[in-house]
Amino acid sequence: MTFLITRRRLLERTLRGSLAGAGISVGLPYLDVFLNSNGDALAAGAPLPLRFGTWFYGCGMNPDRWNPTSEGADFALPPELQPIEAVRQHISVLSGFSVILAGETNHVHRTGVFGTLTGGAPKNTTEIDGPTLDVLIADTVGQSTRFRSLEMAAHGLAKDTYSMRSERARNSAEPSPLSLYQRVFGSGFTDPNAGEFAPDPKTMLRKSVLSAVTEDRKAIEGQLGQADRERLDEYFTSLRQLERQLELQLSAPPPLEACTPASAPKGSPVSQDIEHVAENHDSMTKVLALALACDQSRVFNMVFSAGASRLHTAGSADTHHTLTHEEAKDPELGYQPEATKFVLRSMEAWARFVDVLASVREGDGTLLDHSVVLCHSETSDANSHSVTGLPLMLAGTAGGRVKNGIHIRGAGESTARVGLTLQQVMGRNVARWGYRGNETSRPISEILA
Amino acid sequence: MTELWFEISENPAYRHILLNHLPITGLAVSACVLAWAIWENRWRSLVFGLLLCLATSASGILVMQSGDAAYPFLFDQLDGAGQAWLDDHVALAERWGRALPTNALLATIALGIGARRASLRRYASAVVLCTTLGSLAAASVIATAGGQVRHSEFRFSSAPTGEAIAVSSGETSQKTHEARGPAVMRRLTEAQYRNAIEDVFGPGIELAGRFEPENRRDGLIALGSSRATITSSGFEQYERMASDVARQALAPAQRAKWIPCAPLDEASADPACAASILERVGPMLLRVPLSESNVAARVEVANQAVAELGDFYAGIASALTSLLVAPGFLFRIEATGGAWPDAALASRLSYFLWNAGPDAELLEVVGRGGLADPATYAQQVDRLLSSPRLEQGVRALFEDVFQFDDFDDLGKDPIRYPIFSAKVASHAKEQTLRTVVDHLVERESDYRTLFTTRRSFMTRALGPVYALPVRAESGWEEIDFPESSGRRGVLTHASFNMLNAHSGRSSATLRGLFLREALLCQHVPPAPADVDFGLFNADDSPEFRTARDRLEVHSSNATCRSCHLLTDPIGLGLERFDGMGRHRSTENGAPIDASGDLDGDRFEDPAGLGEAIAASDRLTACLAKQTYQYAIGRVTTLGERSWLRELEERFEDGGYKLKVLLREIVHSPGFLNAPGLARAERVTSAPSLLRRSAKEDAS
Repeated sequence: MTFLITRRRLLERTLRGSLAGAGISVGLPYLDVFLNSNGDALAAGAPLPLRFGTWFYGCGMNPDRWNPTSEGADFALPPELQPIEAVRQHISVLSGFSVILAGETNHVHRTGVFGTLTGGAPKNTTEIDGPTLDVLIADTVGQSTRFRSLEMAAHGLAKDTYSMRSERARNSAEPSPLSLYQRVFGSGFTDPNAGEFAPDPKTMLRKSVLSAVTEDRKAIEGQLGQADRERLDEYFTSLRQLERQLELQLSAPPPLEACTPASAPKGSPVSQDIEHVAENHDSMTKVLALALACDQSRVFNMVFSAGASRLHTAGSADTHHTLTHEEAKDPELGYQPEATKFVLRSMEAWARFVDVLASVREGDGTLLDHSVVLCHSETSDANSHSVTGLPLMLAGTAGGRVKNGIHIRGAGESTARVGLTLQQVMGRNVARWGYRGNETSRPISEILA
Repeated sequence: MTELWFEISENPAYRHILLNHLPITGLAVSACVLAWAIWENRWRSLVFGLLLCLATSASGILVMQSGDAAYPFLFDQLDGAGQAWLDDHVALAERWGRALPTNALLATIALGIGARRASLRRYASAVVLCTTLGSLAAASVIATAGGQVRHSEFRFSSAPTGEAIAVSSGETSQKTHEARGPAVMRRLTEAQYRNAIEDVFGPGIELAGRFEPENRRDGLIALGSSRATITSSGFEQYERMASDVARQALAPAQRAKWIPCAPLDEASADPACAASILERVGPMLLRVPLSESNVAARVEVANQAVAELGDFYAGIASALTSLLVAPGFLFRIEATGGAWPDAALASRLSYFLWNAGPDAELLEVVGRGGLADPATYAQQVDRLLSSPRLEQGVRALFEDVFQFDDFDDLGKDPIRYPIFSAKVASHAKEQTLRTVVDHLVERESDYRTLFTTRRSFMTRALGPVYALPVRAESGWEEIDFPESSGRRGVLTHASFNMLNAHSGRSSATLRGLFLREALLCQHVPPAPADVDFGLFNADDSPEFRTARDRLEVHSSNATCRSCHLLTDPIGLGLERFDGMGRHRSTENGAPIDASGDLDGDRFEDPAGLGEAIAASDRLTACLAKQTYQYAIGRVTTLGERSWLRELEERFEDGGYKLKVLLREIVHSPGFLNAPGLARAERVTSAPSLLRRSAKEDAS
């Protein structure tokens, strides 16, 4: 074992040295050899797994009403952050971090979100430079669970997803609480606390079906060009992921006291009406919390409303997005009253999300104690599509590695610092991250415990 | 400064414009210097002159390279005349551009000769001087056409003479064999998947599961599927669907429709029967013959399953599942099929015309290598074009071009539009597609009249939207829109108007944008990030009651005007239809003025807009290009540009009938020739089918 670790350290040093000039570092995934047979070291008092998640909402906030004025702990909550009052001890606020454009166009409703998630401003509207943050972290921590990651869309549109390895390999989201429940707890779910475990014979059959498919590979690959070969590779990676799921189903999962299955949620109407979206979101959060407690996945992505949010109130001609552009600022209040209502509703939903995760007891703490969730939006001031001073919040301590309850000001630095910090917290070996003006090697040390 | 350098290095158009004066001025200067050097007759000056010729001629290579790269970007930005000039420029560059590298080579040779033999120095340099002057002349000719590629106000002449452009005639067809590009692997769309299941296992199988979301790229989903892959969550869904389909397909009632043999004993394995089932079904699903090892692997799966579950048919279900998740099924791999060299072409043809895999007859033709014979190919094309299944293919094409996949996500505010429901939306979509099929396939009418026809179809669900009585209680009935309804042409249908609008109101800009990008293939630049909407008032402002008043700021503000003049004048013409497609003549009490202009062609109401767009030559050119790209699954290459113009002309000659367009495309070199398709060397020209038949009639 020591021999392998030494060789790996050597490999790291060599790689780091040779890539010192490049903007992005190659992270080495954990080799399964280093972890125990279950892959999560859960048995007999070992530490519980860490989870990572993103929570996205569209159309930002009003900077002068959202950014706290004082730094550090015990900062006063400004008006648009009032909804998180009840859970503020679990949340840290990061303000003033921006996506540095460095000459790139600010593609509306796109540069902000992909800037935060990929570490730099994307060049055009059809491609991104590299996998998103959650995919990178899932490569590190998501190999041993049934699902590499879970994507959910509270507004019901499966296409709206910000989790992708590349623009053409986007992880589509579960559009309703029921579909999420059926995916996680439907057939294929094994209750870890059920006691007697007997592997389903059909699982072996499903595995043999998949292995027959891999026979085709060589014959087909030879006929394809380079780009098509890469796409075929991604197909086979997905197939391998399903095979891994099936393998996990063949062995008994370790018991998890926090995993207490509930009944399926009711089907609910899917629409962009803010009431329905909020309801679906809350329902989905409960299913998600259960999925995490039962260790079905360690990475998740929730989309409350997409960028250019189409949320609207029943009876209104306008959506959140059109209001941010068309509503006049109230001269007395100094902001757009109808558009800001949506910001407050989004913050309330975030607070409820954090609350649900914090209410699941797990080990000697809660589910939230063993997770870290990034709340982000694609813009700060939606009217001007500004990507400076993006709203960012972290919830959860990731097993004590991250401080909660403080406010850190970024002073215009790149959001790639946040991405770098989160990757390092989750155990990914990366020293530098970001590209095109956003390169950084300094994690946000103030947030690290 | 870094940003400027960045733009230069990233944008080939900037590079081209920066460099393209270099060959001309450079060659002129080098010619003068060389002439002086020859007169002076000193070796050092001759070397200097020759080196200058060499360098400036070589710069022409960089100019041509950046021009090649910039072409697609520039082409879409230009108006009709500008595009013609650009193509003229490219054609001239292709014909005469070789002069520059040749000149560079000659200068090098002259330097070499001069270095060895002093006596030949002057003569060699004189030769190079002549060729330099020749290259200068060639470059100037190329540049004159290129110089016309600019804003129309600054052009000296209105259109190129067209001599340089490869026009359709037998003699210049040697250009068309370069009009080809690679075959691409495309992921099956939902409709194609459903068609495949129905074709092989018969109707009645329900698909329960979610398909991977499609990606629209360069205006078409067909192009997006050429780049799509399958993610883990997507694959989970496919696997689940596959096992469900297999289970349903082997239910006793269903399997009677397609299974070719019965096992000796239903509770145990029967490898012979299993093999014959797989050999029958496999090629239909994978669109190529199965290799022996492939069949053996799947028979093995079936045997394992039978041993486990004790049911022969459950075993076959497992084998079928492995076929239904195979990459050969989920992706259309257009590569040569080994034993069936024409399998890829048959697949391409069948998906283009029927949106489904090759049927039994086509597979049989492919099996005996018959598609290689042009007569058999033409026969099969005719069969596919006259079959009732052509309707499916045309529907799929227009669903893609009209961007009807947005209907899946469509939602309207229930308080503002209480009559809206999923049923209304799906009927609206069906109405337009039915009209298109009736007009273009059944009646074989001119494509342009689709935008001026009053004929359409109606159901009870759509009655309230159109405020028209519908006699038929259920199903569709054919109607003609009355004069008073204000509806004429597909643009006035509820479908486009409800798709390109917001959830609570209409949107002139979205509608104008749709027309420009989807129907006229023009590119409208995206909004700037820091656009200020401060002047724009909300929907219920008492001062700006109609959309025209509210959007006034778009046309009065100089920054907004340049792009919004492309979209708003058209979209405002459709303001007579609200966010659900219902007709209205007032908005907030003020009368709606639905007049506008489409590139100078004025209209007074939505019907007039239909006429204006029907008269636009971009409309048919756009359909031709979109259909061609849809067929080949990729954006056209540079070599195919002249072929596209050819295609537009043939479309015109054929009276703008869709079947003519489809036929021309399936006989085109780009469709038939692709590296990987077996017929690479066979087809070198594509004489117009109409002209050929006219000649045949004449002779």
